[in-house]
Amino acid sequence: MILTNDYLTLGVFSLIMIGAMILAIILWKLIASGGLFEIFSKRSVVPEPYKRASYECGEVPIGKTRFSFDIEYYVFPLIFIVFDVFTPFLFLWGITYSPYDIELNIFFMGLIIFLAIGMFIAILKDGKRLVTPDYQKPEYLELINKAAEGDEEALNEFLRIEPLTIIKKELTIKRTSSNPLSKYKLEIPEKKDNPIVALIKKILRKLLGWLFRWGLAKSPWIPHLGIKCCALEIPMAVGVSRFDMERWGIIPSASPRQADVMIVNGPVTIKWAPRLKALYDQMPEPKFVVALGECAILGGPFKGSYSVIDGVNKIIPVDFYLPGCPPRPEMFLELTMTYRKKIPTEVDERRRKIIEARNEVLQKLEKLLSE
Amino acid sequence: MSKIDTIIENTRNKLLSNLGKDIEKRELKWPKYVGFNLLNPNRITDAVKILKKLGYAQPLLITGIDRPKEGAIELVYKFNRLDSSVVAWIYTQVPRDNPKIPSITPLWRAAFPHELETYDLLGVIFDGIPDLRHVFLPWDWNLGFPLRKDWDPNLAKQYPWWEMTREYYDPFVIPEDESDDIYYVSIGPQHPAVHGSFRLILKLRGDTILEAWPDFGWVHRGIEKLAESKTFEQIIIYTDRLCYGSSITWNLTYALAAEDLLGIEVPERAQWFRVILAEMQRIVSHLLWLAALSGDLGTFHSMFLYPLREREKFLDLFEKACGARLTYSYIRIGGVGIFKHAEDIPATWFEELRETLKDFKKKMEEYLAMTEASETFHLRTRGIGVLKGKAAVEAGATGPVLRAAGIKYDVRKIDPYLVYDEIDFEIPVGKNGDVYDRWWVRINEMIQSVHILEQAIDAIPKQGPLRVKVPPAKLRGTGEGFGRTEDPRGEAIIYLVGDGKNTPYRIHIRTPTYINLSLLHFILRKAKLADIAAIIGSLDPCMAEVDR
Repeated sequence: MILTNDYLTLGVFSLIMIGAMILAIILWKLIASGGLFEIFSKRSVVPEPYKRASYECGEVPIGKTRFSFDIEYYVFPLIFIVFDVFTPFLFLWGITYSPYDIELNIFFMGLIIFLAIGMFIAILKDGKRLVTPDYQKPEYLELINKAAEGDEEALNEFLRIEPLTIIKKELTIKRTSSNPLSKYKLEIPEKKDNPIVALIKKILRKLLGWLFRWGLAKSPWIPHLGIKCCALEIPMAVGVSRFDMERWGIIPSASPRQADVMIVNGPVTIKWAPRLKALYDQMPEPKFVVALGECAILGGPFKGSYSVIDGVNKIIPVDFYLPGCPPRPEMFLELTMTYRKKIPTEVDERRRKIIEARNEVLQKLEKLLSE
Repeated sequence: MSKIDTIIENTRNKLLSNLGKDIEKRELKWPKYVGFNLLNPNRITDAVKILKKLGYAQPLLITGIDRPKEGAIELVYKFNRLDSSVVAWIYTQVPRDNPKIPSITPLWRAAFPHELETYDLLGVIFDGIPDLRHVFLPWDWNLGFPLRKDWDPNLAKQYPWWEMTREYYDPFVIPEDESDDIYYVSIGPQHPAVHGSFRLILKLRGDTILEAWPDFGWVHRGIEKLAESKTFEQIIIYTDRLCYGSSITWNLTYALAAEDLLGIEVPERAQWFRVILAEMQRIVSHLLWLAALSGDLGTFHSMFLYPLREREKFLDLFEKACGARLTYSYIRIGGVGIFKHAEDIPATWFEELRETLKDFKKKMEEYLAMTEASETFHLRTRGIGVLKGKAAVEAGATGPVLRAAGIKYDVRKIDPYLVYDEIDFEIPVGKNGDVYDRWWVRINEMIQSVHILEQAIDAIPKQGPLRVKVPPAKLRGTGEGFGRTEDPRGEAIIYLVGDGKNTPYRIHIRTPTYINLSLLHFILRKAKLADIAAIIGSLDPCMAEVDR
């Protein structure tokens, strides 16, 4: 009966919609990192420095990453935002336009003038601030000075807002040890909850964790990384009609920040290695690595070359090895089956193991460095 | 007196009379090429000026051979012509401890990538080159020059690649006083638009590119150095992996060079079969390019899928013949295939190829109609990335990029190898030299390849050996070997030097994409940021081939 009244229907559905939104936000606030029933820990649990780098193509930016935009770029979105919504009304006005309907005409003219003045003020007020580069702002300069003097809070704040190389360019930070790898040391934080919270957490973890793992296992995303030959087979040949990896839920993703499984399909050279590490750092946890083909596993036919690193596991921890030169697409599809079986059961365990393995690699590197 | 002889005579007379005592005649193994010994390396610019006046088109390759016994680095310059097969070779020597020679880049821009490479790997310093830096090795490499014979490979282990905070930008120094509306963007090494691992540094104002610098070397594996310690037979597997898009044509180029060095004659049936394989590979490579370009243009997802579907059919045929999908190692020294199984082409193989071609022709027509009808395609390709006429020759382009620029130059016609002179085919030539023309040229090349294949299937002898037996004792040679073919991407050259052992003394590979991609510096000037995917795609980059 309620639904026969049009306006009442609208009201009820609006309330339901708003309620659902609020519920979702509350739920998320509870279970996300920092919430009472935190089951998803922070994605950046591993403090990898390259996670914050603004580029996603392996390169680390130098110079100012926050450069000034031309003022015209600011005006475009403003005009768009304001008048995009307004245009349908103008359209209606145009259809029913009559010079004698003075009231309506004045209303619309007034609205346009009002919006134009508002936009102008917006440009005057915020435009200058937005157009000024961050590094020219007084608070930013103050931060730099503080960080340079050794204030730890300022330094952390600086690290948060700016990627790594800039620090090197503009400040000389005194490292605690001369070893550049010392800051890659990883720790897994352990917290103790009270029993009720722990129980609720356990239940939530069971329910949502299942969903999460199911998604991870059934639809791994791979970053768009093409190093050499094997890239033609995987992901290119398996990506199209005959083998069609999308049947298995595998989708190439242009950015490493949305990817789950990195496929290293070629020999890693000394020039590539740091960039590969940077890309790996930018992937969210939990992440997995496939060494595809002989070159990525051990150097393949290029083992012993002056510019090739014998195996990608010297740079990042590898979970799956797929031999072949190049491996056949069918082999890759077989690998996805193995991946599915392994992932859903022990994601957390695996993550722990990965971190341990990575620490081991870093220790080895440290030794190498100290020698 | 034939045309070639007149050109050779003319070149000889002009150079000998102008340079006097500083130059002398050098007898080459090949009567169709002309060679000189330049006794005074400082006069290379004069020699090059004369060659340019005589109508030589491009420096085909510049490379060096380290000769520690003589205390010198021997430099080899090769210049090609657009109208005949004549290649002028100039040999000169610079002292090993002070290897300096005037650069010819100011005279001929096409020499730039070659000179950079020679500096990078051999340490020859070219005086007057605008920007001398490492291309394939990391820019801050200071551990010697790997292609020198006395270089200690253990030195490479000292390179601290694990240091993540190294500043990589430095070869392209950004001036401090640059105004605020100019900014720099680096695209790659991991980026969907760059087809592999390759970086492009752009200087932008708004979204207009003011200048672009390509940065190579991401998959530099040092094949030239590795091959020096492998026997002639073993090197085949490296040529496979030179370019993943066209393994067979690189097999072929190497086999031609090695047979030239070792003096091996190939049976006629094998020659025809090589033509069939090379043309199939051209189609496969172009299909891959077509898919990648269509993907880059953004609006053609069907045209990304269809060419790759057709490609699979050709890959099946390759698989039936040799067992591999991508890295075939099928063309060997002395013929085709492993000797014992050389006769193992399945009886129905040629018939299947014929059927595939029939199907392919129909499909091509369909795809062409589909693409030509798309207005977006024309808007995104016409008048974009223009490089035409003499500018393309001057800059050093070869292959489809040069042909799209309106220059009729194809090694298969100009300097025929195998049995190409018995086959009837045309060279498609573009007009405007833009992305659309490159697309058009490659599409028509595929059609011509089908035409060649149909002739070759009819003409190939039904019986006969596919490979001659070469005893191991014969697999060692002295002198030079020169293999010059038309790769799907341009003119491919492998230059071999032997010293009587079963391994080559020096192998130099001229990869067409390296030169074609260094053209980006010109093509991208004044282009829009949104067009770079289309422009890079139209050059058909293959980064493994660029970096070697």
